[in-house]
Amino acid sequence: MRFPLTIAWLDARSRVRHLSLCALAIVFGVAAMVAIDSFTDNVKEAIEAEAMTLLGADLQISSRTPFSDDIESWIQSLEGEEARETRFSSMAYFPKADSTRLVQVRALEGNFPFYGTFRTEPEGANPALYTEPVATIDSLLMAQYDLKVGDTVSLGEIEFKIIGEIIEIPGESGFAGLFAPRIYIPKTQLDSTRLIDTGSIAFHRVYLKNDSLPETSELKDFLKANFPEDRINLDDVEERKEDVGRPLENLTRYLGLVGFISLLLGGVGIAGSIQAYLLQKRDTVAILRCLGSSSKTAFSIFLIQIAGVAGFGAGLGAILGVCIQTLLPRILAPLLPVDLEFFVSWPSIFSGVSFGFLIAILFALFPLLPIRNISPLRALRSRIDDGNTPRDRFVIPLALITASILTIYCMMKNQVWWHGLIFAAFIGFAFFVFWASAKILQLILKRLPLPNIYLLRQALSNLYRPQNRTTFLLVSIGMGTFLVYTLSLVQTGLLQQSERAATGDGPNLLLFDIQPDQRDRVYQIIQDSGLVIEEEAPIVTMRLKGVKGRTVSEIRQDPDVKIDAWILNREWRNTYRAEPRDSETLIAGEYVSEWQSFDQPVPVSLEADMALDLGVVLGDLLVFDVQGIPVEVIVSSLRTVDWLQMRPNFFVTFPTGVLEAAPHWWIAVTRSPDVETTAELQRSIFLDSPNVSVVDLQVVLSALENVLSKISFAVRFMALFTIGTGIVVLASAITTSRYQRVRESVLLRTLGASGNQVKLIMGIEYLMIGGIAAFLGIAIAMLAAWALANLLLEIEVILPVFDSIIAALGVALLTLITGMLNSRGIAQHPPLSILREGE
Amino acid sequence: MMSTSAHNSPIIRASGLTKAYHSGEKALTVLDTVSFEVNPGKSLAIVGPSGSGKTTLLGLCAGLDTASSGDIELLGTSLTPLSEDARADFRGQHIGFVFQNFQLIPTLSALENVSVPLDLRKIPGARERAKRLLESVGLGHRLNHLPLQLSGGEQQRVALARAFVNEPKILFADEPTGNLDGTNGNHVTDLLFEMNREKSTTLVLVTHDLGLAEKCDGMIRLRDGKLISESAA
Repeated sequence: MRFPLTIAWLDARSRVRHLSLCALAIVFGVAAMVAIDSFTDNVKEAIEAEAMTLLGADLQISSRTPFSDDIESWIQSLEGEEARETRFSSMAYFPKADSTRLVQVRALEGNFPFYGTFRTEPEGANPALYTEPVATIDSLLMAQYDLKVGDTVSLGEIEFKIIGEIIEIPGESGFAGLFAPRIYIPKTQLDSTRLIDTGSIAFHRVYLKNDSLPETSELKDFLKANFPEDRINLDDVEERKEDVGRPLENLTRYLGLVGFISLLLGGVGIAGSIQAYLLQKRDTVAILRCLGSSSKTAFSIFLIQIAGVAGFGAGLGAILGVCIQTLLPRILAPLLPVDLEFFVSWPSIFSGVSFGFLIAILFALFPLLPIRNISPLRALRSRIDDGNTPRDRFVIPLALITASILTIYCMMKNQVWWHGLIFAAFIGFAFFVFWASAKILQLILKRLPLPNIYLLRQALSNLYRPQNRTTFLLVSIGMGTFLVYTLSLVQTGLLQQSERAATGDGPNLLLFDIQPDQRDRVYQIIQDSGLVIEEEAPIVTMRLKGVKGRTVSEIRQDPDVKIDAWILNREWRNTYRAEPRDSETLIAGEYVSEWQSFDQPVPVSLEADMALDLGVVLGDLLVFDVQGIPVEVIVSSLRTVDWLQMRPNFFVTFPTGVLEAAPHWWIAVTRSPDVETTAELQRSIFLDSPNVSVVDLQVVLSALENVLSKISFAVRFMALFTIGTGIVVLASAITTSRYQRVRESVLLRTLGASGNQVKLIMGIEYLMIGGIAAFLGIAIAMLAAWALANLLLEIEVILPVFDSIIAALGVALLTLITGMLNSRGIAQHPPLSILREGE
Repeated sequence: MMSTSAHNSPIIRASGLTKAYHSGEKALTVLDTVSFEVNPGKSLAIVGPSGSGKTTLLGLCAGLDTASSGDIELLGTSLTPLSEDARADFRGQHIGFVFQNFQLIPTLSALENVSVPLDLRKIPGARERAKRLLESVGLGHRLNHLPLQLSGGEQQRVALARAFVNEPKILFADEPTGNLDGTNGNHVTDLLFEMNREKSTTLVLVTHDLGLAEKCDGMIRLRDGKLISESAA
């Protein structure tokens, strides 16, 4: 082993620049993977460290309705110290600023939190400790309305004195109050606000401190068995830990995918640059063979060099990854309810470096294997192997092993294994398309008569001559374009998803909780403000009792029925209307406008995806509990709903004539032209009907934008790594062809071709390969983005044809520029000096 | 399995060597039933016009390629049944090479190039032996130079030092002066024969240069792949 090691080292010394380029190909991929995995580990560790304070209690019991007497008795039986909270959305009026805003009211009593600190400024401003009308409000509100301690806020019919601002609530991130800022009041003051009425949406919570409670799963089983009608939710520290980590899990999974793509691209780059390197090493191998080296020894020499390159690249990637890891918390920390403490995650570094190393070696083996077949005769006749090397028998097994490892990795990294399988299959498909396109292009060029212009003919024939690099260049540039552009399209789609809802001429104000007796007055106020009610809908709350003849309790206990718990447990807010609206499209059955009979099941229209989730089709029966009265319905039609439209949208719509007598409230939407009109309308409605909430979509969207900007920065930042790798791959792909071009250009120059003619021939080749690879890559990326958006992410992605053409032209141009830069000097140097350079 | 014959038998024995290339159904015979023998310590020149099969014959004799038919025996060992790796091992132990285009490993210094055959066989003191040989060919001051930093004549002298460093029984040289001018060519030729004598090596060389060929103990002429004349070596 000493000889291969020594020669590997001695031989590598003078090729440091080329080998560094090889190493660079995997640096970004490993860096991205290490950064993401280490960051995820930091988050997990932080969640673990602050586990108890995430919930603030040992057990949280919650319900959307006030607890029944049975449940109250059960809670008492659990013993321990308890705190209670009722939370709901409402409009708040700030007299000092004469402004209103949608807030989340939390009426609290007891010593919550039992673990962690309710941090306020000034300290100790916890309204639960008071009996008089006082409030502690989000710092966001203090800043927005220039409020000071001692100012007031009106909620319903009561004016509360502000005693402090919220700095930190256990288990909640800095962004928690962004959509609806939090206002804490004493629970004893809740009734006097008169904001909670029948049908109002409010969440009731009991926090328990008792560290000897039975297992939460046991408690859940007890509730399910004894009180199946009460929809009680239990949350313990373990569940809260999962809840807290979940939003970041999706993001880090996506960022991990970006890292994986960078690494994959890096693998292609490694294969390219190692091939270029080894092309120049064939004579060395032949000499070594003449001097008595076995094929195994010759192979080992270059395997050692490649392992060194892979190790160096992976190590450098790990260092860069750790550096990036220090940046990620600064971007994403506000999304987290825990304080992140930076530490180096050695398991993440180990896994990132190992996987990077493995990918590099696997991809490098493709060009390395043929080294074993180099004949020593080449030392006598240098062209002996050119174009005649048979395919190595290990290439196909190696390809299968590589594909299997990548597929397994994709399956492990995806939440749903078959998503990973599809992802890997698509990459394989793309690879095949590029390979097949190169072969077809060469076949066409061989068969078709070439143009009479010499330079063009020479350039085109170069694409299929022996030892051409067409297939490799087309595959690597094409794969790079495809992967980078797919990421770009999906990312843009994700970020535009929310932005689209805000644009256009649609409604931007949503009024809800309008009681029937307030309806006329509220509408009058809207009209007096010069606005038009664009759409309204009555809302009747109900619960699902049965599906296709089986009760919900039976379904819950049947492990074979796969209906999500949230569907079975949710409080349905349905409506009644005579016909579908603009945002709805009927796709099956008949929409029944009016129904008068209660003897027959009521024909309803069901949203198509919900029908799928429930496993029902046209004609199937459901039973709803409409505030105590069971109502049997039959699915008479299916609709698709454009949820992105700011309209009152519903899963189930009843015909008119059925629900009018049931307790209900109204929701309405309108469009306000400016901020002043919105503020005035909110104030007027608050003064007349303080329970009616007016949600300003612009405020919600700006809050969302705030969150998304953090995420989008992280996503774009990580995407830079893929682009960085893409450029390295492009450079290395083109370097592989330099070897051939040097000899050919020298010959042409010797025969009298000018430097410009040589450049033009090379330029045509690069443009041709770059153009075909780019257009194919972008076409496949559009297909992939469409598939990802529709089948996996369920978002709408706009496929920008014009931008895509520009992007394709950009890649072709980049290929040309990189190619020409890489070939600089070839056309200028005297032929003899280049011939002497030889290797 | 290698078999070694008696000590005074020919060191090289070529019997009916034929090399043909197939292109579709057509066969191109580049070497046609060539047979000859070379005794230990002698030198043999292979001459003939371009395309006559000289280099092919050299490649077959050195075990760099396999014959379509016939056999080659070196030191009593038939190369035909040996695998490529076994032939490589045999070359490493018994054979030296000098090429027309020098064939030095461009990334290794002169000293490192010369010590490669010894390093391959894990022979201790490789550097010292390589250094002594380089000094003996007049390159003691160029030990750490890369091939690109040496003139053609110097490169070929490095190649000579490398060829002799493992004290081969047989040295094959392919147009050793083909890429050199007259002065450098003569210098290399003198060195080649001097070292050949000193080390008692058997020399087989391919050349166009009849002057060089006449310095050898024997000569065989090839034309169109056929042996047309032979004087014993």
